[in-house]
Amino acid sequence: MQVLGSGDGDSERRFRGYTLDKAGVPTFLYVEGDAQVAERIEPDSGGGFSRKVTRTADHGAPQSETSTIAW
Amino acid sequence: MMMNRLTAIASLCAAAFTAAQENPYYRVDDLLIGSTVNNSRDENWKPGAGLALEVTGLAVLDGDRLAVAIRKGEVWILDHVYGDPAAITYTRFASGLDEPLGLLRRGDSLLLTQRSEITELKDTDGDGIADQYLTVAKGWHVSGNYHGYAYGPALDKEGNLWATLNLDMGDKADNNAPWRGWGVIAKPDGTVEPMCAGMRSPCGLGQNAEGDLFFTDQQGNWIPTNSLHHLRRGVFYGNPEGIAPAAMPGSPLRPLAAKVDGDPYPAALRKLPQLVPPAVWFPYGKMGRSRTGITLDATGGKFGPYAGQLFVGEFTESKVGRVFLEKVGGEYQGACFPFMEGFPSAVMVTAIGKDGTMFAGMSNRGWSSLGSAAYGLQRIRWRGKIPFEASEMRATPDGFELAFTRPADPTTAADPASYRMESYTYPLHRAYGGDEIQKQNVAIESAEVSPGGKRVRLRCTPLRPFFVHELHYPGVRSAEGEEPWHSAAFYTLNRIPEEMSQTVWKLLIGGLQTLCAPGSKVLPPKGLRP
Repeated sequence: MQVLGSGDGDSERRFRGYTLDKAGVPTFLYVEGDAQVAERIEPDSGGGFSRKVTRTADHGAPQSETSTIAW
Repeated sequence: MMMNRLTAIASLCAAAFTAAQENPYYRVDDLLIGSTVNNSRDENWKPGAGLALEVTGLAVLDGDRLAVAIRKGEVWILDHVYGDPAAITYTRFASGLDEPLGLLRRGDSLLLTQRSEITELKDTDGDGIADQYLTVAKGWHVSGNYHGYAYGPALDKEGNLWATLNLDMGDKADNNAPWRGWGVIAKPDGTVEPMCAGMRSPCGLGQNAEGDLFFTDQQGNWIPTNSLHHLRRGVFYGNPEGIAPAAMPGSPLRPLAAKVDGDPYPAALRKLPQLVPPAVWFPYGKMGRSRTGITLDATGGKFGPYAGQLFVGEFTESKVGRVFLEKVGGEYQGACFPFMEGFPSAVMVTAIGKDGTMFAGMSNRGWSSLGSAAYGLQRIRWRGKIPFEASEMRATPDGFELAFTRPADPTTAADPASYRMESYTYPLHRAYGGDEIQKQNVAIESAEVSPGGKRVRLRCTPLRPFFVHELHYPGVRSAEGEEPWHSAAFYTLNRIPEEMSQTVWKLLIGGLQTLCAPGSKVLPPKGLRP
C-alpha cells in the first residue's frame, strides 16, 4: 500500500478547532477556500435544535443562516 | 522479626529522605504527590484519589502561576506556586484533550500537541478558563496504536512550531503512513511540513541558549541507548521503521542509501549520508534508562553553577541529569552528567520559573519507575551552596578540559591516577537496545591544572571519533579537600577539535594562496610550521 496523502491538506475544508461558551456549547470552525465558517447547534425553546452557520469570506461581511432541526 | 521489619522500614525511609530531602545543595518541596493504589503495569491500574496530576507538560506563566498539562487530557493552572505548597490553588483551564504531551506558552496562548494535532488554547473573556481550542496544524497519520504519541510543541528561533511523532509499535502499528518517527513543523495553512526522520520515541523537546532545538530519544529497536539530538531539517536520526514516507512529495529526505543492520555507528555514518550521530549519548544504566523533557537553565546562576546548560528528565530511574554542549566542526556535541535522583515518580518534564525555581512534573503511567508514586509535582531550589564537581567537559585536540564548579586541590587534580577513562561506541541495529562495543581503555597521560585550580586539561590517548569517552574522577578533591558531588562525565566525541594554530594556519595559507600566482607554493618560515 502506498499512501500519497493524509487527506487533511488536500481537502477543500479544513478543521480549525472550536470555541466553547460559558455553558460549554461548542461552535465548530473550519476553513472552506478563502472563507471562515462557524457552525453552532444549540437546543431551542421548542424542544428542537437550532443550527446557525456563519460564513465570512476573506474581504466580506459575515453572512449567517439559521435553521431549525428536529429529530 | 519485628525488630528486623522496623529496621528495614527505618532504613527505607532514611534512603528516601536522604535522596529527596537532605540534599545539601538543593531543597526539594512536594507540591502534590499521587497516592498509588496498584502497580503501574497492572491492567486495572488507576491513580489514587484526588486530582490525578499526571504531569506531561509544564509552562511557567506570569505572576506566581504555572500551567500543567496532564495525561488524561486536561490543563490546570496552579497559582501561588512559589510559596507554601498548602496554599497552592488549582483551576482547570481546559479539558477534553487527547493525551497532550508537552505545553508551551506563547503570548497569551498555551500551545500543546494532542495525538492528532497541535492546538492553541486561548482564554478570550478573561475568566481563567480556555474558550478557544484552535487547531494550529495537523496532518500526520494516527492509527490508534498505543505508542502513537505526539510531543511538543517547541518554538525555534525562526518562530516555527515543531512537534515530534512517536513510532507506532505493536497492535495497529502503521509506520509506513506519514509521519511516524518524524519531526514536523506547523505551516500557516494548518498543515504540517515534514522536516526530519528516524526517531523512535522522541519525548523531550527543548531549546538551548542559542535558540537551537533538541530532542531526546529512547532506547529500543534501532536506538542502542537514550540520546540527545539537534532537531533540524533534512537529517535522519537512525531508526528506519518510519522512513517509507521519505519517498513522498514534500519530504526533505531521500530513501536510505543502504540497508544497515549491525554496523557500529562510525561505519553506519559512512554508509548513510543522511544519518547524524546524537550530540550526546546517555549510556544505558549509567545515565538513566529513558530520558525525557529538556529544560534550559537560563537563570544566569540562580539555580546553581550550571547556567546555560540543559537539564534532562528521566522516567524509569526517576532522575534529572544535565548536559553541557559545545560546537565542534559546526556540529553540537558534549557531555552528560548525573544531577539529582530519588524523585517520587517518573520525571516527564521540568521547567524553571521565577527566581530560578525548578519544577519537576511526573507521571509513570504505562511503565515502571523507581519512584513508585503514580504522579507528582515537586519544586527544587538551589540552597546557595556550590557543590564541587566538573560542570563542563570540553573536547581539545589532545584530550579534554574539565571546568570545576569551584577550585580543585592542585595535587589531586594534577595526578593522572585521580582519573580513569574508557571509550566505546554503539551498533546501529534492529535489535532492542545495544551494548557498548569496541570498548577500550583511554590513558590519561597528563593532567594540567590551570592557575586558580578551576580547570584541568587532560591529555588522553587514544581519542576515537564517534565514541563515547566515559570519564570518572573519584580521586580529585576540592581545594578544601571535599570529594566531588558526582564524579562521572560521558562525552560523545563525534569530532575532535583541530589545533587552533592549524586552523589559523590553514586560513592564513589559503589567504596567501589567493594573493599569489596560481600554482606557486606558499611555504611558511620553518619555525611557524605546525
